[in-house]
Amino acid sequence: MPRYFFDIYDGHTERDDVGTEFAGPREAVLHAKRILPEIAIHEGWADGHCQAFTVLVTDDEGHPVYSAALCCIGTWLLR
Amino acid sequence: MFGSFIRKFEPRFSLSDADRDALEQANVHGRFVGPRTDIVSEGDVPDHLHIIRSGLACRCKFLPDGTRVILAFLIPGDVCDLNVPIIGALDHSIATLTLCEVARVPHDVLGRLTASYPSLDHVLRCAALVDEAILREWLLVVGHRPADRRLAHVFCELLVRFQSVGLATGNGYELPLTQVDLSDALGLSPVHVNRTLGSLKRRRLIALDGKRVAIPDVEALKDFAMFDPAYLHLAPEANAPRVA
Repeated sequence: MPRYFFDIYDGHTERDDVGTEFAGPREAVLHAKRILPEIAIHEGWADGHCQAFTVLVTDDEGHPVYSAALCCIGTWLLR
Repeated sequence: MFGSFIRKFEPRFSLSDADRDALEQANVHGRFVGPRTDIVSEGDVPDHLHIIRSGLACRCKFLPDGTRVILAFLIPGDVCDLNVPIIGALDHSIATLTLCEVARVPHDVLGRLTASYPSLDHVLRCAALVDEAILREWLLVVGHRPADRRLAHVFCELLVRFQSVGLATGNGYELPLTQVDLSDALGLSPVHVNRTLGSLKRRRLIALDGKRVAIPDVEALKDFAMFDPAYLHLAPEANAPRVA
């Protein structure tokens, strides 16, 4: 099965040098869509500004396959 | 054949020489099983009891889309399928993660052993109860803790379990698992496991060198993971009588 790499960017780039095997690009992209909400749920986000989590999916030849971003905005409403 | 198994329960039970001799002289075969191979598959009715002698294995089930869910890690000394003949077929698979040596005891031999040596029966029942306790702890951890504490918890648990069978050196151990294995056990995506490992390393809670895990400050990792080894029941509780 081909291997895909998922770099995460949230202010600094976290390069995926291990990669994960998937049947094909469709399955890899489904996985990419799961990752961002998973990270946001577990790690939370800062208040007051838009915090974006971005994933870049590349194949084992380094070609970009897909990218997605999840933007979280939390604003305190109490003065 | 039962070195790790006996060692694990030594602090809790005092097996007599007769118990040990009976175990060692039982009609037991060792078998090597290659990595990523079923030892017993879901639906099988095993006629042998399997005990891991070396290597790492797991209990697992598969989702309809083929995703594997790891429900327990099995390390040397762990009993795989003790009470299965009572309920019938195995409701999950027991599969190796690395090359394993597995001790196989025919269930009829085991039945005679436990009937003649009540202490052995007691130890085996204790092993099954500890298995259930570990599963309860995993349910709690996977259901209610964030990714970094889940991973920290599994590293603490494996440290204590490897120490109990003499397979830890210092505060570290060999852990020949992939990030996919960890993600299948912790309900996280492999990419998230990779990211979380990085975060634990940066906070100096763990150090990874190839397949070796080292824990620089065990108390710090235990605090972070909210890990209390009581559920492993390795040492007798202060108020518990020594049985067997």
